Amino acid sequence: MNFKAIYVLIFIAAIFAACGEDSGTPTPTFNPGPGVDPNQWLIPQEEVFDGGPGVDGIPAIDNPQFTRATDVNFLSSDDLMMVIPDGDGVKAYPIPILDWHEIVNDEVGDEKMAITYCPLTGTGIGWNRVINGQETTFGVSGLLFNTNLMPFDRLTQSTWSQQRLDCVNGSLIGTQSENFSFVEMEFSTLLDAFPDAQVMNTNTGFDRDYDRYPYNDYRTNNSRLLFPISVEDDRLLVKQRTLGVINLNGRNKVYTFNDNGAMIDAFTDNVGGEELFIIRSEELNFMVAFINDRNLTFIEGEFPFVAFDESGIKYDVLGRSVNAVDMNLELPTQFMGYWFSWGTFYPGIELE
Amino acid sequence: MVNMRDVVGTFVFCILLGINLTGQTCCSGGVPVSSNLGFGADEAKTLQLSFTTDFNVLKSLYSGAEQLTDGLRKRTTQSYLLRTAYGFANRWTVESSFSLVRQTRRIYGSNNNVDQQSTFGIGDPVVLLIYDVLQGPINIRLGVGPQIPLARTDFLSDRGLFLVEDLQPGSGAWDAIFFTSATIQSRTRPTNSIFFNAIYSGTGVNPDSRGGLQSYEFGNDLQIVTGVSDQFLWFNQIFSPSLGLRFRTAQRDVLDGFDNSGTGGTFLFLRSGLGLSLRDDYRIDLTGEIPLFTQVNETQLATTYTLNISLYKRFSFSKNEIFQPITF
Repeated sequence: MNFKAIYVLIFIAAIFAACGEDSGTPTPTFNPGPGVDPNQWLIPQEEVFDGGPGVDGIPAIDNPQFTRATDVNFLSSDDLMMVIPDGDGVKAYPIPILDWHEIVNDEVGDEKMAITYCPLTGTGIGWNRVINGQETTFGVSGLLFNTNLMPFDRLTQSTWSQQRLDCVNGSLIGTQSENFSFVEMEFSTLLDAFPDAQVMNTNTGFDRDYDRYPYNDYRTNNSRLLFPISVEDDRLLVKQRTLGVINLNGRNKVYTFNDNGAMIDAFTDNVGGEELFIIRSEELNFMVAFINDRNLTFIEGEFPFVAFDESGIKYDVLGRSVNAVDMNLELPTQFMGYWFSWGTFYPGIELE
Repeated sequence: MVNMRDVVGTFVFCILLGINLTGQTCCSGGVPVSSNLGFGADEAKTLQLSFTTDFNVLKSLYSGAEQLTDGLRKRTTQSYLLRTAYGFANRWTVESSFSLVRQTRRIYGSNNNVDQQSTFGIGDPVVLLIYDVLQGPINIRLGVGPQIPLARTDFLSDRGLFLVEDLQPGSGAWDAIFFTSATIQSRTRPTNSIFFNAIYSGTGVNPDSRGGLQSYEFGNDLQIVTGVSDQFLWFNQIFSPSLGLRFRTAQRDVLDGFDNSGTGGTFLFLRSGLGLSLRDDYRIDLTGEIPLFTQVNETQLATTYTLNISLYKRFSFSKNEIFQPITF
């Protein structure tokens, strides 16, 4: 053997090695199962985009860890979070963490829940992880429709549309998600209102820089979207944060923050025959709608208590009854979102 | 008795083969054309030819300049490049580079799934016209030319969806390539030289990205390679080692007229190479790079290592050679 032979061997070996396999044989995550047409979509297939990271390239959190709100030291006071009652307590999912993971598979109260958040549309909502009697978890498919998150359920590998709230591809195609609405509020508001809340912490199982927003100026640049959308609606600024109330007897409506100078604004509205009681505060940076089936009256100056009913029962901003059992207010399906996303997912949507 | 050459050679062979077998995916791809431009100066009526296999493995996740602990994703770029340079007149050379590119994205996801997407096709060829400003022991060259958008940019995923731009073999845009190099040969040791290469890619816009739904422009890219090279005789073989640095800075990509997050950055690599002359004008070069410094915009996968293996041949059609080619 001599050096020339060795070098020639290296050259040949390198070429062949490059075509060899890496550790782990590719096992495509998308395997819809027998009898399922993988090319059947409820939405135009040409409007579904590969976002770049790929299937599970943005890792969902499957084992969230929590810290009492008063002990949290990794958030800024104006960081937004998705907040929901958890039995007698409260759980909060910080959006600076959700920006990096988009889905948390958790249990809230008695519910097995996937908390989904899309940083590109600013939309967050919970989904029941028990579908047709079978428990699943959700992951990030890496696909986007109208620049919005498309989760996939790991049991059937069906692909869902977050803001449409249904399955659009795979064996569960056409299935509606069972939704749990959250209230978005800033960390400082949470701390004041619910100091004992359990806040998902940064022990996510992944090494990410949660202090850094991953999309540059995206959330404030009203000219910039990352992927095409099907309908543009210029009634509001593209990235204006709004509250969308969805599927009230087939009607949908979007609300904006108050500009009347009031610390907290409350009013009633009728959508699809349902009376809503809406609380909002630009200063505290939250909006929430309740089904008003008990003649609610706004309580001023007692935040987080925001309403009482004809029986004198008080309710907090999460809709929890303070002095009665099992009398919590019902939240219609709702979530915050950038205006453009409502305009494109629900063309012509009613605007307050 | 054990032959020392065989021991050393086998050792090198095993290391390099091992790197390939454990470090590569099922064929990777990329567009490392610009970092592979620039043959050494040569006289008129010579043809320089090389076949290069280039691997670029990206599995280091960075947030700014901080490396994160993450083994979730891996991007590989593998290119086969056929490069030619012909000195058609004194001081004037035309150089070209044609490539086959394989791009691969692997994700080690939940439930032990390994999701993989690959594309494979011709890359965008580059043609450079190069002028020797100075010839001789101090050689300075300037070149300019286009990168021609002949490669496909419309590969689809397994699910029939357009893949992202950096997984496509081509850019879909005309790029302007500016090239300069300088080589200084040592007076006391003519085989020893200092080299400097700078290549700037002024990128164009692909107006038909994703089936015409978006426009996309890769960020302008500057690469500087500098180092020293030498030759020595060992066991009657001519070896050509080199050691240097490669600096690369890339601007953000532009998507529909706006800067795209998670693109662009600044990188510094340690570059080491070893060539072996097989016979006259016929040589194999091995070059490897590891990052010394990485600073990305937002969070990105960045190069973990590169490996470049090149088979070089020179044909002279001239009766009188003026000087030996210097290559690196």
